[in-house]
Amino acid sequence: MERLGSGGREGARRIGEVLTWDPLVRLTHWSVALLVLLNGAVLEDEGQPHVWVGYAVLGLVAARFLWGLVGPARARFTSFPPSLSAARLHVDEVMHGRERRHESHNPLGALMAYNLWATLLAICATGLMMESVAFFGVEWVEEAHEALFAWLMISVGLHVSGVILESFLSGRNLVRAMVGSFHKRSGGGA
Amino acid sequence: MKLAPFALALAFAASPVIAQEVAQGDKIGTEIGAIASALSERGYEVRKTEREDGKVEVYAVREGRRFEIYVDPETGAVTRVKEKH
Repeated sequence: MERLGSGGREGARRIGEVLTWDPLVRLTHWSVALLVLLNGAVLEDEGQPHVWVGYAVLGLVAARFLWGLVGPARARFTSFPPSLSAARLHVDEVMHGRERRHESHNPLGALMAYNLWATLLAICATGLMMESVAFFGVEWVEEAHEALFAWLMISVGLHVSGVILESFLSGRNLVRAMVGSFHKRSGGGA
Repeated sequence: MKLAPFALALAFAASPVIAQEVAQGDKIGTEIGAIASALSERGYEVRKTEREDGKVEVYAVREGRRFEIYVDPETGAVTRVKEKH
C-alpha cells in the first residue's frame, strides 16, 4: 500500500483531490463496520461469540480514541471538535453551494463521528452490564442495548447518506479517502 | 458436650435454608409464578422469565453465579440448566 516517496502531510496522502485517512483510522473504521454487521446480523445474540465481538469493538474504539489524542493531526479530536455552531454554518454553506474544504471531518461529519463513537461505547457498556452479575437478566439494560443498536443503524444510514451527499457536492470521492489507494495515484501530489 | 445436640439441631434447622441447586429433571412447576417461587426457595434470585420455544426460560442469579434455567411447562421439569461464565 505504501506509495513512492511523497508521504502526505499530516499523516495522510493525497489521491487526486482526496486525502486518504491514515491506516489506523481506516483499519478501525472498517473493522468496526464489519464487526457491527457480524454482531447485528450474523451471530446469535445470546452466544459467547457475540460477546467477544463486542470486546473487539470496544478495543477498536479505544484504539481510535487514543489515536484521537496522539495520532496524526488530521485524526486528532482537536482537528474536528464537536461544534453545533460550526455544523449550522456548514449546513448554511452547503445550502448556498459555497462549501469550504475541510481537511479533517467536515463539521456535520464530526458530529456524526462523535455520535457513532458514543453510541458504540454505550452499546458496549450495556452489553458488559448484561454480562455482569448485578445486571444479568435485568430487562431495562437489554432494552437499552437494543434501542442503542437501533439508533446505531439509523446513524449509519445518515452517515452513509452524508458521505454520498458530500462526495456529490464536493466532487471528491470520500469513500476513497476511507478505503485508501490500491491503484495508481491519479495526478496531483501534495 | 452440651453444645453438640444444639449444633446438630441448628444444622437441621438450617438445612432448608442451605437450599439445593436445581438440576435437570427436577419438577419445579408448570406455571411461571410457581417456577419462580420454587427457584426463590432454592436460593435463586429470579431476574427475568420468558417463554422461548415452548419452554419457560428463567434468568436467575445464585451466590454470584448466573444461570439460565429452562423448564418444560407441560411436565414442570427442568430441561436444562446453563451456567453463564
